[in-house]
Amino acid sequence: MKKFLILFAILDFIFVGIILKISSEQQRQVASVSTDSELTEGQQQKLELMKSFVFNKTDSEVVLRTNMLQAACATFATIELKFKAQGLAFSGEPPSISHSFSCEEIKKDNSLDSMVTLVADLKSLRNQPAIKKPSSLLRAFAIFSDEELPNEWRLSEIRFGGTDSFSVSEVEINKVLGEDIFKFSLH
Amino acid sequence: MFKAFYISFLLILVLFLGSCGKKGLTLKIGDQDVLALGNVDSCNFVQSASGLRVSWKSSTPVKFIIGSSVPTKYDATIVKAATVWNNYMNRGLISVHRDNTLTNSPGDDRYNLIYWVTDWPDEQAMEQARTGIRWDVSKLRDADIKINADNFEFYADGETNTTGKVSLLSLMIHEMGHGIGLKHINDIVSVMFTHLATGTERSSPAKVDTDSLGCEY
Ligand SMILES: [Zn+2]
Repeated sequence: MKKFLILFAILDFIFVGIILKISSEQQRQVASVSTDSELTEGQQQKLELMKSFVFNKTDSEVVLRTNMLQAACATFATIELKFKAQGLAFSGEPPSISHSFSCEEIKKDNSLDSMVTLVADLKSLRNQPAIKKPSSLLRAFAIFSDEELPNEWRLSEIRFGGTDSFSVSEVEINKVLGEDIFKFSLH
Repeated sequence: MFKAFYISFLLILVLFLGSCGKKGLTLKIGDQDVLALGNVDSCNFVQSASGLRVSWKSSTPVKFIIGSSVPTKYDATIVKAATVWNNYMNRGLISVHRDNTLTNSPGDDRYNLIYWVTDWPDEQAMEQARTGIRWDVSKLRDADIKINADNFEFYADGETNTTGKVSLLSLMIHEMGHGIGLKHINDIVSVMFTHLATGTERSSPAKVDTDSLGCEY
């Protein structure tokens, strides 16, 4: 009988150990979810993902950092950043730039946690419709060589593509993170 | 004693199974819109970053100026384009006059000028015209219409030789629609439909056009 008790005590400790390990791994991978019970599991993850975004613009680059980049690339094939010019439109369409990153490339360096867009590339899209980079593709829409390149921009959408796809929209970014969070000037 | 260990074992087992439900990212398109609730209906208007419709609000009539580059033989057609909108909306929404003294280039100068452009960039040769609008928050402050006279020929209202030419009346109704805030409308009956074939008239705003404008004017 005593042997049984000792065996169960050992089993108990093993189970507690396993549970602690699994829950700490999930903490790292998915981050803790919102307690808002009205959101689905996916929506809670989306909220966490949005809250993990850190945006930075220097003279030479525009950077979006998230500690969930590798987790996102485990599920999706591409991540597309959409930049939109502010306060103007041509024939009903605001000038915009799409920068699409390949998750295959991002996964090659599992310490990578940011997506970088060069300001020089954004500027040169005034004179060419697309730029093909080794691990990403930039495309311009409603940007014209005979119009001034707009100065005020905003990261307006983040689109995750693959078998399943979803996007974080401009309105969602504004609501969850604030109106001016992803704004930047080009010149 | 044995019972206590047995119960604690079962409890831990239940906790363990309960924690197995969580996976990696499970986001999919069905999770898309819940956080975006409350977005304003665009009514086919350009929208600001915060989702507001972009228009001239109460600052009407919107004054378009025919610049010196535009041949005077087209003045009546351009004025008629404004009249068509005004008649369909039953109000003075747009006014047009000529001013040959203005030498402004297209841009943010608060003059809504119409330009006849004879050196259009080659890579955009398919564009019949382009209207640029600029706004603060959601109120328009500038609209310029450029007509591509480099790659297209146009016929005035009433002109009979239309072969291979674009209806300037239809084009100007469309561009003025952009100038007061409308986007393209993917409906062939709309004057805001993207493509206008040569020799084709599309000069009567449809219900979708007037309904759209009714959201703001
Ligand atoms: Zn158009």
